[in-house]
Amino acid sequence: MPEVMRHYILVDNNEQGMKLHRILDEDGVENRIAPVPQSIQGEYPCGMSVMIGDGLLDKAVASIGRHGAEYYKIVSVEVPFMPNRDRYC
Amino acid sequence: MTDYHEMWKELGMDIESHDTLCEVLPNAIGDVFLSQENRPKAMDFWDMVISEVHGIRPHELIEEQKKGRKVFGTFCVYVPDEVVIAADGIVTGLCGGSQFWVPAGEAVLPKSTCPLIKASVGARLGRTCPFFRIADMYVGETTCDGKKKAYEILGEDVPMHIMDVPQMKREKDIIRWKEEIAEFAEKVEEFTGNEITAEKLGESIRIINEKRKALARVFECRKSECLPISGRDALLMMQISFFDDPVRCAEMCNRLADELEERISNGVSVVPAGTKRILLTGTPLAVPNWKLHNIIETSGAAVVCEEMCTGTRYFENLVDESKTTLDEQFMALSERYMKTNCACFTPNTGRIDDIQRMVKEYKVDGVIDCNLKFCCLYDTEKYSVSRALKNEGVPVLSLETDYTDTDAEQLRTRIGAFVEMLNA
Ligand code: SF4
Ligand code: SF4
Repeated sequence: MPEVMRHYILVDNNEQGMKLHRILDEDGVENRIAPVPQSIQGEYPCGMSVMIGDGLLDKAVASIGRHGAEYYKIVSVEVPFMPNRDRYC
Repeated sequence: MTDYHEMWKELGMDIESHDTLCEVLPNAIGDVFLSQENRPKAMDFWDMVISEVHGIRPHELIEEQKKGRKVFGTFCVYVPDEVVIAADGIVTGLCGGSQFWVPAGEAVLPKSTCPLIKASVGARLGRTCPFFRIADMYVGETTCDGKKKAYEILGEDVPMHIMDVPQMKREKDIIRWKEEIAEFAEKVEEFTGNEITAEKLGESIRIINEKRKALARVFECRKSECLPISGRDALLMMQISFFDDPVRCAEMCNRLADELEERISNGVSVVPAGTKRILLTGTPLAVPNWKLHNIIETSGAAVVCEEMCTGTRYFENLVDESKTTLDEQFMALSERYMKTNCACFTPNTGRIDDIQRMVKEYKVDGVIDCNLKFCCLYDTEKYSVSRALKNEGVPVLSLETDYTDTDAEQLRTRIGAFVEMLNA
């Protein structure tokens, strides 16, 4: 499976995250709410982020800038989703 | 990012162990949900909730407790939420759906207990689930033997009320369940310090009916040939509905249904035309049990309906809202709840009637009947379910599984062969 780059916009709290999600939606930047990936969870497990696919980072950053939207930081991760991995919780 | 550690510490949780559960969740959510293409946008609410499943709602519950409200934890769809809500209480589902909690359950229960029970006991005794810590009172029921005995153990650790569920569905059983509901109402009044009036119960009946109608609207969309939502996403919505505030739940489900109806009118489907449609029946799939749905939907088929307590049994049949006295309302509640067709009852032919009806309504190509390991009730019913469906020419696959990943490959082989047979 090819490595896929994803960008996670980390937020201070879920209200900030949902606001950011709506702003990106309005601007047509495809995004989804996603848990912060395990590799960058650090000391904050159980947190949401706004995930955007490869190639959309510039558009997202422009949209955030236009709206003066708040966020914590953007982290890029190469984690392929593997629906056949069969590792459940 | 919000740090929930302080909240978990105050709940007396085993933080170190709990962190390991938090670590595996993002990958599983990514693989099962985020890997899908073209998901409905309105799933964003449930994506948020599941991303912070041990944070957002627990925090809300604690804030309500600070105002003096009581939280009741339940394990069965026979326990009437309406009664708790009428006393300004809050209900949260407590069934454990993760292998993570099973070892702590096995420390006190026989290994030959169903994983749902082991996980539920393990989540409490292992102190690794905030919901199990938050609930002020647990409400158990006399459905299956494993649960009855497990409640005795849990009852040593937390206030517990047991409802005596009848085993048959004769007129006298419906009256008996009504009396049990009335007694439960007294218990809830005593525990919350709030009186349940006919007016308040009437309002809570309306609230829960609205939630049922909203869930039913989403399921109505799943009947369409043009399938606007995957089984995985519908399952997530359903699982979280057991934890959420009922008014918000109805609002979010209606929002999702609006989008799904629009998708259907625009011909937007999440699967290619001709994808085989599966009805899944059997034991409940408590969060985060997503294994079967994920395997079925990555084997070329789509789950279009769940005839189970985390499915149609949760929302079908409304409570009669026209009653104006408590006595009549308790009877109306009993009549509605006693329509739920669980294998704990004998006979339970209503379940087979439901499955046959749903096969037609949801345009089903094949049925998968699956029980959790060591659930002899649902395991035994497989015989009559499969015979009835085969008589009607409906292909059936009977399976058994637990919460481990170890049988995934075997399940893939069997489900893959079943889908191939449907496609032949
Ligand atoms: S399967 Fe039976 S015991 Fe389990 S939740 Fe449903 S009604 Fe209750
Ligand atoms: S799955 Fe079966 S054994 Fe397990 S709790 Fe439900 S009825 Fe009991």
